[in-house]
Amino acid sequence: MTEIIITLGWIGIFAPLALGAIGSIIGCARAGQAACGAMLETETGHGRFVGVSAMPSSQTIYGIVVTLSLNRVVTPEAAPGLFAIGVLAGLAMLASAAYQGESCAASINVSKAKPEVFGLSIAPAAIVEGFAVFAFVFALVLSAGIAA
Amino acid sequence: MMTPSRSYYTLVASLPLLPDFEIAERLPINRHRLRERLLMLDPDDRGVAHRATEFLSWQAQPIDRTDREIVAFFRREMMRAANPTLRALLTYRMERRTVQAALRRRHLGLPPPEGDDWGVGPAMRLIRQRWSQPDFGLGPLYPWVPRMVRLLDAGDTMGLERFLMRTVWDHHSRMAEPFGFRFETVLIYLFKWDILSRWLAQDARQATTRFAGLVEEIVDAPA
Repeated sequence: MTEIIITLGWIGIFAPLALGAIGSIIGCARAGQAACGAMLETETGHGRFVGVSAMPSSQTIYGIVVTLSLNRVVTPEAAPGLFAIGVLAGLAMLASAAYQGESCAASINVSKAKPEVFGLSIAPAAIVEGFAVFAFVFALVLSAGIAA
Repeated sequence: MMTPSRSYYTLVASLPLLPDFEIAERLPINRHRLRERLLMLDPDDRGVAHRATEFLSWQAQPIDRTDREIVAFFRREMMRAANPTLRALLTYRMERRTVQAALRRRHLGLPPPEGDDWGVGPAMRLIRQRWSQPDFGLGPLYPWVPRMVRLLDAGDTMGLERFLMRTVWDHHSRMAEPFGFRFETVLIYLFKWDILSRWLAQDARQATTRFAGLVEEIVDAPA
């Protein structure tokens, strides 16, 4: 039983990074494909399409920071807290990155036809990012309360 | 169980925005290039898109067909079409065609059609039962019917054509909203592209006729 609890603790430590990275892979791939498609229809502005398509990578960075903050000697007392915070923060980052990719793809799709709405069209993607930031900040705050 | 459709981020983003058909001056993408873009589809979806384009080009051919032939073609297509969005689009077009044909028939002073193979959809029974009612009692089901009747009675052919295209265009636009980058968006795009293409072709024909008329007027004018 102790081994299982210790394993869950390790999962919790690595989950923010792994799940955040999975989300970033999905999000960047979706937005990146849309950027490639938009390039077929536009003559200029390709750089900003690629820039927007990289937005969902930030969740991996948040995941790295949360993983580092959770990283400690895994004991049966610390493991439940590590698992709960790590996995839930990771899931929030995964969803945020994947759906941010959708928002970025939509932004690229509309701004190819109307370049003047480019700035406004990335606002939904920024809002989605905001929720990942909440999960990130509170994971850091709560991780301080887990037994070392 | 229904399988979720595939997403096509590159393809959807590569399709130019279709301008409203009434303000469009030209097609934003020609048929050849559109076909090339459709090569990005997975083979199964390409087959569905091919079926959709076959239906659209069949429908656009100016060949005199009997109602029976049209209905038979529709039923055959429905048996082949497994994609629910394609089925919904085909059904929508054919049900509209049924009601429009009945309204035109009555406008010409003809009796109600007989048999079961003159149209498709739930409106057929109502049309026969309520032949003398101005909108066949279909107003609640098809809100565009009363206005079509008014335009038919007024003999406003151009206004009628514009109105009918508008309702189909708006219907397809609303239908595409929830799909984002999914295959359904591509399918509905093809149907909207077809409306735009036909509208512009019609516009070009009208312009040519008008131009020929003007030339005649100038040539025939006394010196």
